[in-house]
Amino acid sequence: MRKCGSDPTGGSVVEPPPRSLHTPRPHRKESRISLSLPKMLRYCLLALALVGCVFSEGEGEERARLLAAKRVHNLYLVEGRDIVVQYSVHNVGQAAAINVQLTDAGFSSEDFDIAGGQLQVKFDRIAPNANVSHTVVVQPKKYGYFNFTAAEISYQPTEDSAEIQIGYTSEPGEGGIIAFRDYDRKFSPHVFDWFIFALLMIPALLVPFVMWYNINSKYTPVTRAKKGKKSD
Amino acid sequence: MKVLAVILAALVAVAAGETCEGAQVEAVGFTSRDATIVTKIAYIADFTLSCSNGAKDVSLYAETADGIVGVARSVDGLKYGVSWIEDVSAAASGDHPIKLYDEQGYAALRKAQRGNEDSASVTPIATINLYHPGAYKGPWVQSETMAIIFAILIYYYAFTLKAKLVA
Repeated sequence: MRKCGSDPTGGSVVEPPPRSLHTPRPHRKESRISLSLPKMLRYCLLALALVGCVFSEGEGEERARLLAAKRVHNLYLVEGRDIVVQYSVHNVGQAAAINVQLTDAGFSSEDFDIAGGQLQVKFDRIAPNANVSHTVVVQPKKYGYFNFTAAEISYQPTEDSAEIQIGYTSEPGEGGIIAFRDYDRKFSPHVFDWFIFALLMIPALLVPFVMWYNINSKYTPVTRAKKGKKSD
Repeated sequence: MKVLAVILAALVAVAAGETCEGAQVEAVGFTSRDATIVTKIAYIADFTLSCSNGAKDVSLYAETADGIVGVARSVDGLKYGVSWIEDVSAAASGDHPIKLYDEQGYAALRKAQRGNEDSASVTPIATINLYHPGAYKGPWVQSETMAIIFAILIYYYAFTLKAKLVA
């Protein structure tokens, strides 16, 4: 499981929704057979297999296919501080996706405050080859490990289809949310701590200085004056 | 010809859904203020749209620093949301205008872009100014550095005094 603390943009890999992929099984079988064949032939077979896949997809009606990613753009996840979550949706199909609904049920109101944005939105349509992105900023109320799960995306794959396709975004994975106290101890400028340190240092520096200053002001001018008197 | 154009425009309007006239937006903006723990600055503007002709369920498009995007809507269709992110180093403070277009404006904008015309000729139905006051990126000088500088200054002062005494 990827950890957000160490690799916050970990979710950047666009994972296509599982159902939109053709099963990799026949493809694997093909390459297993061709292992014994010469290299050239093997590539030919692989290319043929891929072309076959494309054709078998092209045979159906034109449909929208959405790939969705959920990313967390944070260096650290800190209790009570911003977490920037971005959802990007890309339509790789040939038709526009209609009534696209993006719902993230992962941020419950008991664990997170929403600082900006909405967790449930819809887009009327996403044209083929078009991107949309949506951003939400949340603030965790508690610290500890939190599993960032996938958001759900539902859409009509064609203009007039009653069927509703459901997909999921990529999962950023588990991330450690640091307690604010620990974060502050590590990264704050510690101005107050340094101020206390300076206060503690003052007697150690000031006492010898005052003693020296007193002696200095008592004797130095006098010796100078004596010098002046002697010269007279 | 002109009449025909008007009729066509009306037809387009009917086909594209309701158009919004005299649009009024009420927006609530959010931008990241603390850039110490995030890698991207988020710009979020949530707004409600009210039209003088009472149009509802209007599809909107927005032109932002990110390009032209479809505007997200809450599921009940009342609230709209435009959001994008920018790298912390690239994010400039100040006003970030968001121009809102309806379907017609969007079509005109796309047409102007295709023909390499000036897209400023297409007037948005409303513009939101999202103000970003700038984000805190951490102190300019580390407090440890300041403490070391002070320590060196005090030591230097004491040392010069001692050198004077000894001399």
